[in-house]
Amino acid sequence: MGRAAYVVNRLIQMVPTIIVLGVLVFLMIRAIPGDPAVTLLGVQATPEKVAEMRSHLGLNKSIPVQFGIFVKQLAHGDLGTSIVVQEPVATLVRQRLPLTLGLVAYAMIIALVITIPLAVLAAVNQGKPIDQMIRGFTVLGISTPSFWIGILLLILLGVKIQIFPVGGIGNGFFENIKYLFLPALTMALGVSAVLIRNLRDSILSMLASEHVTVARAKGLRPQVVMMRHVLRNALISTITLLGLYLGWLVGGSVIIESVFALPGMGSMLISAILGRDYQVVQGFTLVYAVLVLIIYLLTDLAYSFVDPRITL
Amino acid sequence: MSSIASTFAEREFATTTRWSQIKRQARRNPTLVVGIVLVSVVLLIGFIGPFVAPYSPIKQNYEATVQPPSRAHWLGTDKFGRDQLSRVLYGARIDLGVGIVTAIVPLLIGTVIGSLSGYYGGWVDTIFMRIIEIQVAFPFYVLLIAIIAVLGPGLLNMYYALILVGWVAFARLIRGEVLVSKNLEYTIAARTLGCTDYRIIRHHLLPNVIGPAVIFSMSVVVFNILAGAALGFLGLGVQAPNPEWGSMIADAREYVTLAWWLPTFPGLAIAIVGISFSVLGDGFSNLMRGGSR
Repeated sequence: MGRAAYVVNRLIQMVPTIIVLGVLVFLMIRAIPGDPAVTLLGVQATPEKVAEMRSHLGLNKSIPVQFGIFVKQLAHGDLGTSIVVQEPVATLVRQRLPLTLGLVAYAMIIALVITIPLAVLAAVNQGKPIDQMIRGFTVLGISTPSFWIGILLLILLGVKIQIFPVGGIGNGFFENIKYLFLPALTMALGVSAVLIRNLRDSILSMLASEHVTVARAKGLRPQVVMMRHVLRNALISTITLLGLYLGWLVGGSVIIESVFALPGMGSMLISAILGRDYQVVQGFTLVYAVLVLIIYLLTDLAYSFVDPRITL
Repeated sequence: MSSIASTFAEREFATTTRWSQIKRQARRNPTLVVGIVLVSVVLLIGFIGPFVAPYSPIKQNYEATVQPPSRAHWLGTDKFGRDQLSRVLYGARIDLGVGIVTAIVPLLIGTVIGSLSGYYGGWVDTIFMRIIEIQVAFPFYVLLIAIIAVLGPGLLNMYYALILVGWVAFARLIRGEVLVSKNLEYTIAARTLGCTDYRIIRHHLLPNVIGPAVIFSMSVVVFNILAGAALGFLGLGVQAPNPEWGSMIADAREYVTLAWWLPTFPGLAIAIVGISFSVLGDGFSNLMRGGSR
């Protein structure tokens, strides 16, 4: 199957999943115990106000009718209107999605920059102190909360040694590379801990394989063997794992955005939950889920570029 | 008499060999030993923490707010003058409880559903596979937060959310193992002997397939302690004034420039617990690999 046909096929397969996601997200807001209108307005609200809110939310109609309206709006790209900030949820997504995506991409790049050298270093020094140190780092990275690491980095590099800003965003691309460095690094550390373990193990098994012995026997320099014959093959499984962890990074961004006060989707999702802005919670949850589906599709495609043996 | 004496001698012999076996195992797998020791210490602290804590974890003392670590307050005090050491000690129960319960319950649920799904296939399996597909589409934290949004913030709802999200991975793992093992000779033999399905699953399949799930549950403990702390940090988990490590870190945020000890110690506590269970998990997986060799 060609790549284009594969992509089309996968997109078609995504349709039922997205429909079920839509149903779930639709039911979510209705599953909240009590009357959402009362919850939104508070118990002191007058009955008229509550009735007005119910009709505003469309809650006075039957569930199937409500669902019909929800689907129709969704088809027009309408995710409802935020009750708190009085703006269409779709507009909020457009404003805040770029930052979240940028942060995730930045974190991914930093994770790879940390992972590859450390994994190679650990693998070629297997069992030596440096290997043990790197493996110790991975245990630490897996076992410590990212938001805590974020705060410590903030204290150390933002407050004590003032190299980086303590939160918020800057103007333009280059300024944001600096502003988003600490949050992206925080997200990257946890992921790279997992990736280093994986890459180290696959480098070790690759080093023991026959084609590497042949490459060495040909008299190739160790660096060439490592780059061309070992890393290229070992990276395949790491990229798959990275794809899986991209979904994880998207979720992690929710927390890190809150730590560093970044105006992305995650920080708004949290404040929407605490402020009972259910339209935003509903819309954002759906956007996150679709985003992850797309990321998985892209990962599978990337996979076929790295390893020509894989036919889609 | 002599027979009794010899029985004693045998028993003595049996215990020494068991000891030497354990010692041999320990030498071969130091990670497991370190993991068991660390987790035992952590659990012990969780149990006795509230009894040895020098102060009440919620009693406010406005005479001593935001004090650095001292002899009276080993880990300092927070903005309400509450003793940090006591709060960290009391918090151990909450955080450990979240991690352990939300690993064990999903392990049980996942084992039942996974083995049924893998063993019988058919519509049970179809429904299960659809659930996986949907769940995989949600980023972990977004799903968790969405469930909390519906249930409302709080410790109990956090338990529900983590269990609701957690069982799928276990079920998936068990299902995969059962799919392979149900066609192996020992299962076919059991079936030929006329064992009931229940007996085959319970006594023949499960003991053989549960290993990876148990090892996985160790990382789930770590993972869920971090998740519980993250929810507490976001204000969606344990509510004030209860001492939970994540929410303690959140409270400390406004003081990061003044009081380094406020975010540092609760985080360190999470890290120590996390590392202990990680090491134990690594030890168990070494054991498994050693066994299969």
